[in-house]
Amino acid sequence: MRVTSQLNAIVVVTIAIIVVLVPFLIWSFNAANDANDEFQLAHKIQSIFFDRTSSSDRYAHDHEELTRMRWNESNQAFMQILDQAKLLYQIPENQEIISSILLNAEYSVVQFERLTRIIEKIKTDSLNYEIHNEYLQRLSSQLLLRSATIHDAIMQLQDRTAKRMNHTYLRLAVLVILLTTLLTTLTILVLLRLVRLISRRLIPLHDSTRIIADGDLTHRIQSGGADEFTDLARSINAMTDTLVLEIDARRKLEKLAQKHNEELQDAHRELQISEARLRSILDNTSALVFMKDLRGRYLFINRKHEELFHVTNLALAGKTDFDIFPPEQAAIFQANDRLALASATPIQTDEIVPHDDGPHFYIFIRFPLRDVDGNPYAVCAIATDITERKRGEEILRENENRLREAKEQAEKAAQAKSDFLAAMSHEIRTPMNVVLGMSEILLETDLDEAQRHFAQTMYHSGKSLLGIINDILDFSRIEAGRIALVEVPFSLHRVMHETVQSMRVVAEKKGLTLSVHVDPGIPEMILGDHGKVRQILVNLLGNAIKFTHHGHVEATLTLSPQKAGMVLFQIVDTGIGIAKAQVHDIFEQFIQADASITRRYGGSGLGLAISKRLVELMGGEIWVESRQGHGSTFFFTLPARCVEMPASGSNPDGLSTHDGTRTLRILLAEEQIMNQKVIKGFLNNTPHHLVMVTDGMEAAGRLQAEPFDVVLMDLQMPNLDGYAATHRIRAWEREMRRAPVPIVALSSHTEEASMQHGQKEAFDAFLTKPIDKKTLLDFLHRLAHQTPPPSVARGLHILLAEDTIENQLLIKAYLMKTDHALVIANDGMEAISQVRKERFDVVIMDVQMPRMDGYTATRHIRQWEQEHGSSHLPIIALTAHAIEGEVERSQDAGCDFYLSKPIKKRTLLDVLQQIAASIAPVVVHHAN
Amino acid sequence: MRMNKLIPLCLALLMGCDQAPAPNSKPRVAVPPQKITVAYTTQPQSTLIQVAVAKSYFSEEGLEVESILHTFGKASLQSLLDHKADFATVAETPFMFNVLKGEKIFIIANIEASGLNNAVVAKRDADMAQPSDMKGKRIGFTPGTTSDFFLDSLLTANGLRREDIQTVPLKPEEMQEAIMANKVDAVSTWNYPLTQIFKQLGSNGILFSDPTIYTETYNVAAYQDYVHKNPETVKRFLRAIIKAEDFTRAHPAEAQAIMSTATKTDLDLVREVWSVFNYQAVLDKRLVITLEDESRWAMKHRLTEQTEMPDFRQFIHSDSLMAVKPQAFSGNR
Repeated sequence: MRVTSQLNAIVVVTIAIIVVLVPFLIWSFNAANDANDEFQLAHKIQSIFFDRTSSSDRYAHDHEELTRMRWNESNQAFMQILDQAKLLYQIPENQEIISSILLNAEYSVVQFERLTRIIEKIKTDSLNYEIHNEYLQRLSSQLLLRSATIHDAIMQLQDRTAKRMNHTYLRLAVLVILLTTLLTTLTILVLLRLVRLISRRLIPLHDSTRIIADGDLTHRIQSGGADEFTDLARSINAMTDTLVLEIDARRKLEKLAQKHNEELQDAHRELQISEARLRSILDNTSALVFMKDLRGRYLFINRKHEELFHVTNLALAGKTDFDIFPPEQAAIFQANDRLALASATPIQTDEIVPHDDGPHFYIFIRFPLRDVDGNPYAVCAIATDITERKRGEEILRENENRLREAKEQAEKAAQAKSDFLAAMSHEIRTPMNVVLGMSEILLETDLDEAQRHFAQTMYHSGKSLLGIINDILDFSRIEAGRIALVEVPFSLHRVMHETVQSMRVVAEKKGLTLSVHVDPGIPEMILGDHGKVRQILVNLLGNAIKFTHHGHVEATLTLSPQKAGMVLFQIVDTGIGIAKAQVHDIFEQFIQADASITRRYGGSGLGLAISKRLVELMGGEIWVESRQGHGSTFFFTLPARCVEMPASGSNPDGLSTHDGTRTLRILLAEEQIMNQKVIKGFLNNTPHHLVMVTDGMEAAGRLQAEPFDVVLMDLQMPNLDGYAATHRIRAWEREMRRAPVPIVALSSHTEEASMQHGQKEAFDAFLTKPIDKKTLLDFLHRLAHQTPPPSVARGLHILLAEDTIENQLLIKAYLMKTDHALVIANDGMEAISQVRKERFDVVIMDVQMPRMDGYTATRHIRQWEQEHGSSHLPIIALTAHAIEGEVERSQDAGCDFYLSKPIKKRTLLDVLQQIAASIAPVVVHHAN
Repeated sequence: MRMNKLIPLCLALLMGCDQAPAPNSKPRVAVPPQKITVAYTTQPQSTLIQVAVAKSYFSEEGLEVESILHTFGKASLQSLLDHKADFATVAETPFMFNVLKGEKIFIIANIEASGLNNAVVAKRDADMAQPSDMKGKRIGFTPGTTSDFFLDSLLTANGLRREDIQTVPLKPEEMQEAIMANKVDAVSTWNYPLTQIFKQLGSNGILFSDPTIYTETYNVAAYQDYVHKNPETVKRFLRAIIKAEDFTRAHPAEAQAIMSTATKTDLDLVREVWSVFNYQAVLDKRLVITLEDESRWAMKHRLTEQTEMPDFRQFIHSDSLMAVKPQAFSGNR
């Protein structure tokens, strides 16, 4: 068995003995203590009892009061110690004895009291002396008997406690002896074992190792068995084997080392040559080179350094920057050295180094030099003088600053101009809004011919004025660089057609032919700003129509033959043309071909200038070819960045039909069979459902009988014409509180133009005959995309926040014949207060108001809604600011809609209609 | 191996330390059964004898017992005096009288003591509400017994003399009939008659008892000569008594059942009076005190011709009990 196992076993046995016996020992010790306490108490009880018995005996004989009192005292002490004993003695037999003592003690108390009384009687009642004396004797005997009983019990208790104490002490002694014996035995066993091991196993081992130590490496220790000594013998033998091998190896190594030493000397010579070469390079460079140790002491400087600071390598050895530079400068150098030492890569710093001729700027490149373990031991720096370059940069920076200041001043001026224009725009637009609105209302009233003419003139003049203002504003925005281009996918085809279509009325009024041609190769959808494209086209077409008195105007769109990826627009007219001398100035601002033209044709003269700027902004070019008296052709190119459209959204006509839109129920009221066929043909490949009637009466009746999404209404019909039928339908809708069905008038231009005032408003759109397929399908497509209006529309409860009386009157007039109810607030504060008081369906919020503006009021309302969990109240921003970014501002403030003054009645009513359709019917919740 | 033997030995020693030496551990010697005659009573004071007989403890000790049953101790002692019995159970009063007469008898063990076994049971309709009301009344008692001495003690404690009442001598078994037949107004007696009479009187009954004036002892008596000649028999007898004592302490319900059967007494009555007695075999100086007290009383009232107080220690044999139950013996320490 192994020695450690044997020793472990002995230790385990010892611990086990201690673990088993020590608790037992503690328990025995406690028990002995308790038994001793009990024994001591029994003795005390006996001692007090003895006093008590002596007192009672003495009193039975001497009848003395003092004796009686002593008995009382000892009795009290006796009873107390019995109470104590009741708690201390836990063994049932002992408790029984204590109970018996207590019972007898109580009897003896009664007996003693009677004894006291009878002694008193003997003293006082001599007549009955004999009987009292007899009772006294009996009582004395009984008292003695009780004492004897108590005494016996106490003796018994003493006996028991003494025995218990003896037993517990004996047990304790046995335990101590047992534990001591066991531990002593174990110790002796261990010692004996160790002695035996040393004499039998260790001494032979020692002798053998001595032999090996004396140099006999052939000697091996012979040892049998399986204990640690055997292991040790084997280890020594193995060690001796290794020693023999290592001595051989060391001899070989010594030879090898000698050889290496020679090679090292050769390498050292080469290194010296290399170092001299390196030194030569460093000394001949114009840069400063130095090395410092980790504590900042110079290890090396190159010749440039020596020359510049008038020191030598030798003189500088062991010195720091603080020995050669001012302290602040030295501190900077050392801080940068430390940074370089801490960095894994070289670090570059710009530093100022004092020269004899003043401070010089340097670029320092510092890097740590590392030993083979990768630990840095020095920092190396290469510094290049960049003073000259620095001075050049300084001058450049000053120039830049001057330029920036000049630019900022220019921008401020431009901003001021722009702000002025915006403000002026507001100032002009606000009254213009009223003028246009009021004249619009005026035209709805019964006027005689002359009055109507005046009112119409007023309305058109107002609109012209507004056009001029818009031109000025646009131009100012372009000039100020505050025009932003949007970039959305749009259809060039549609823009061309729609724009031409919108100009058609004017052209036809002048008896001109207006035609449009779009090359089929033009991509359907491109990315760009369709609004701006439309604006340019309106401008150029407007000019062409304006300056052409007979002949035609043609708009074409083709791919640019010169530049790939560009499209080319051409607006050709047979108008007055432009003199050769003026062709170049035609796009300049405020210039028209001839000053007399302004007088003759009107206009701001800004249209072409704006168009030129817009085209250029969009990355295109604009130019004109013209000959006076022979018409003009305006060209402009635009980049055409194609957009891939989903296949399902396209059909041969380029129109969306099946892209998740509604299937419309269309009611066509048309008398002419041919026209019916044409329209039916147009709708052949669409999902829409067409119902045809031949007169107005039938149309009105059919519509009242079943729902339709749209009505195509010819104006010329028997029985009831288009106007009357539409009038009847609208009256019925109002009566039935139904949302108005979109009614499209199918009319000729002359019909539309000659419409009575009030007739036009009943229609939602006009399609000019002959009906263009694309225009019709586009209209239906847009309609199919809209959410259907609720079948029952209702009047809205509207709050108008507007400070100017005129505008209040205007809005009031607009809503006069509607179901909407209007409440007016004169500023933002009033608006907030009204919203808190009353529930509204919508707020029309003028943006510019005294006390509190519309945006601030809107923000307050939105916050109030959040705090009170109120539902979202639609707010329409009403603004005269026709400038960029206003929509975003209104959205930021929390407005839902944006209307720019002048507000057209139709636009306002449309927005309100949209709101009425979108909001849920008002449900009154009764608070419990 | 040595360890294996040593550890259990040590443990046995340790465990044994806390135990008192076992009584009666003396190995029993196989001897032929010895015949003895024991006179004892149907009173609860003889419970230990009744249990020892019923549980065959005497047989276990090699004694073959012949029983002579009596209703009270004085009669039982008479069987001893008549040499009809070797042992008799008796209260200290008849024993005292016979010592005064010059009988050479021993008490070998006190087997019961009680301060509540003796009482006067009286009739309320005879104007008896408190002990002093006994004056002029007819009181039944058994002369020469504890009934006699208790009555006297009760009278004395209440300032009455024997002349103040009309004494009617009665045997214990006559008491019940006498009081029910209105021959007496009260009787001084012991259990079971005491409780039986009191219960029979119902609400008309009243008990006058006083544990401070008298403590009855019940004992085993034998002729001195017999004890000297048969020391081993006496020890066997006492061992059987001690076994009965242990049994009674450990199994009181069974002991009660034995008493009920052996004395033909209602078990409820046995249970009712059970706690009045202590059922312990002892010998102590109380016996001497009581005997001397009663002797003084007997001599004073000329109930005996003896005029000198005998040394009652000479009439108490303690060696045998000390040999078999040393812890019960405190009389002469």
